[in-house]
Amino acid sequence: MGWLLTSLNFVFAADFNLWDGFVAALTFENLILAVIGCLLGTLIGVLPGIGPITGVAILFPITLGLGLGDASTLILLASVYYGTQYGGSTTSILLNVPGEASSVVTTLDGYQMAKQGRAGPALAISAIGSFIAGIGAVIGLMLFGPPLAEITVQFQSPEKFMVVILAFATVSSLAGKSLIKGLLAVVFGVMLATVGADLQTGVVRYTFGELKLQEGLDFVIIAIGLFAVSEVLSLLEDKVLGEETAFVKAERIWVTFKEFMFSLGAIIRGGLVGFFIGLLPGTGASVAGFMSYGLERRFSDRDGTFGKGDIRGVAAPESANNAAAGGSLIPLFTLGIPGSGTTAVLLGILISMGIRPGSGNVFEDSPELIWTLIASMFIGNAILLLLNFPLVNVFVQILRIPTWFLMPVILVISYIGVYSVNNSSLDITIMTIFGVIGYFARKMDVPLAPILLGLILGDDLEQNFRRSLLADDGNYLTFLNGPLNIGLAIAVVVVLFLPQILDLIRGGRIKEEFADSSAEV
Amino acid sequence: MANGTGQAPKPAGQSDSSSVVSGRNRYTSDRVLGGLCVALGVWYVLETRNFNLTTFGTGPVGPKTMPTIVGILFALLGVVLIFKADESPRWGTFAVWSRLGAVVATSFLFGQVLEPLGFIVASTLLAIIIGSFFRGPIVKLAPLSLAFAIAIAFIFNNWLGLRLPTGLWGGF
Repeated sequence: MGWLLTSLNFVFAADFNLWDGFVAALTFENLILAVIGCLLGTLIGVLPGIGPITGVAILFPITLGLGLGDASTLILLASVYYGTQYGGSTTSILLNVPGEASSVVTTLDGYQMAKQGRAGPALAISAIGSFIAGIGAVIGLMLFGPPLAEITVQFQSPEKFMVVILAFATVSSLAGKSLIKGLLAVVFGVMLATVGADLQTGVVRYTFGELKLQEGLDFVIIAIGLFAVSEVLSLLEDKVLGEETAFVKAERIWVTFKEFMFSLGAIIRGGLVGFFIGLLPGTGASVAGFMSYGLERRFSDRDGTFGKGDIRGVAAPESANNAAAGGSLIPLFTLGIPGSGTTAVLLGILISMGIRPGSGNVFEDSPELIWTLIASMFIGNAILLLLNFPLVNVFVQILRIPTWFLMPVILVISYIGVYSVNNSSLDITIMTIFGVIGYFARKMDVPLAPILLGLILGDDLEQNFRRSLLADDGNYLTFLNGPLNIGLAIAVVVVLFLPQILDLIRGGRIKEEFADSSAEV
Repeated sequence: MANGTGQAPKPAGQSDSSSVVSGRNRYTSDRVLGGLCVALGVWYVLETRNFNLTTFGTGPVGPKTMPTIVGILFALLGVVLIFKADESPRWGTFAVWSRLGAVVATSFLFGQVLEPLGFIVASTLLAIIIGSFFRGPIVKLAPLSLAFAIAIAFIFNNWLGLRLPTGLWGGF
């Protein structure tokens, strides 16, 4: 039980602990920021075309301009992140259009419920389930995070190198359909990271003689290009091809106590499944949603009501994806391994604040930021629950904004975000180029998150690679030296073949079930 | 929550519109991509010869080492992709391509005119042009775009403390 003592020590007894985090997060300024973040996030989540990654990436440079402290910036951006999750589920239920990959499963029963005039209970159970599971996951993060982070204190350069490799392996094997394309994406990202002056020697690489490129490519600019601009291009294509959807209105958000009790089991099961899937670095919420839906269906679908508007079919995946998001913060905070595009952006932001998870124990090195952030997760979840009940219809009104005005608005805001990073119009050109790359990547099923992660962690990879080899006279076996390194190497291999392993375990049944159910919609 | 790729998924139930190309061209897209990756990888490795290493960069590992390994890996993955290509997506028609090209061109142009014209003028024009590609009625687009640009400029300059380029007109 030593680990439990470690975490309890960090949570309650350290010089700066959870309590101090709450005190910091509950200042007037931070509370206002959390509310603004939740509102903006929900709007972004409701809007087609800008997802959580884009929202956080666009807002980050803008918040830098505000001159907020690091903790306040993190609170604002984290609130935006949670907000997008709530907003994404709303459109899944009302429009049959998932705001993001993790709410795809929600459409199965959620949209059916909405069509039967039960949008209110569907939205309510989604919000309540997300809240309960989200809070549970944050408690899990507090219990498991600190002891895991202790391990990283032993890391030398070879171990740090291997951890980055593990991060690359996880994100590229799980982000897309094809492992090769995932690997190509992550290697491409590493190549982008080498642009600019070499950190150790100052040697200039791949700048085409452009002075402004000597500082390297900024991940925010690349993120906005890859995600926001390419999304506008994709939506334009759909518009030309005439693929659009109509939506159902929710009269008001409510759920009876009976319905809540009926769903409670699904919420708890979904939350647990989600949390443990979130723990696996690189998996993330979309897998969690599918798994928990499949399991819940097998567990409780006795009358064949799943896929026809069963409230438990909304409760389970909605709880699971929120719990997975919380769980995925554990590998992020302890090892620096993000499970998704959004957490990759979050990692980039942490690194730019001088916090490098995986390269030290963040619970010891930056307790102020981490505990304030964790406290703000409790607060953010509560704010969202309170906001969503009265305001969901207001949010949905945003969808009445016609695409022909929404798209220019998204682009203009993206451009401001990009421009404000360096006040340079070259950045707008770079963003546009990556918008085009992103468009083609989407078309060809090349996942975008690994590109971003390769760029964010590329410097770390190279620096630790060179330090390890310098320390060991160019002996490449240094990366397999010692139990930690061998363990990490095994983890890399397992992770690269995890989809095959998972398929073996579940026999491909969930995928089939999903195919069946979506055929009925 | 954690969106693996950030791509907005298609509505459930809508079947995947890709993989409809038949015959010999079924795998062309991925093969072209693989070929491009090989070319980029090779160029990336060769480019290391142009690094100016007169004063630095000796020792077992220098600024060339990782780019060399990474470039070779990238090219090899490209070769694998050529042989293990997936089916091609459905590419757009001329109507799609021309509009996409126009949006991209507008976006490039915006970067060029932002500083000389200033934020308000440049972004109003941008919004009108992009909006019209999405078939927005110009009578509504023009005033909305101008109002939006002015509002944004006001908020950013006065409340958020970001200095947007003023150019011709745009100071508050």
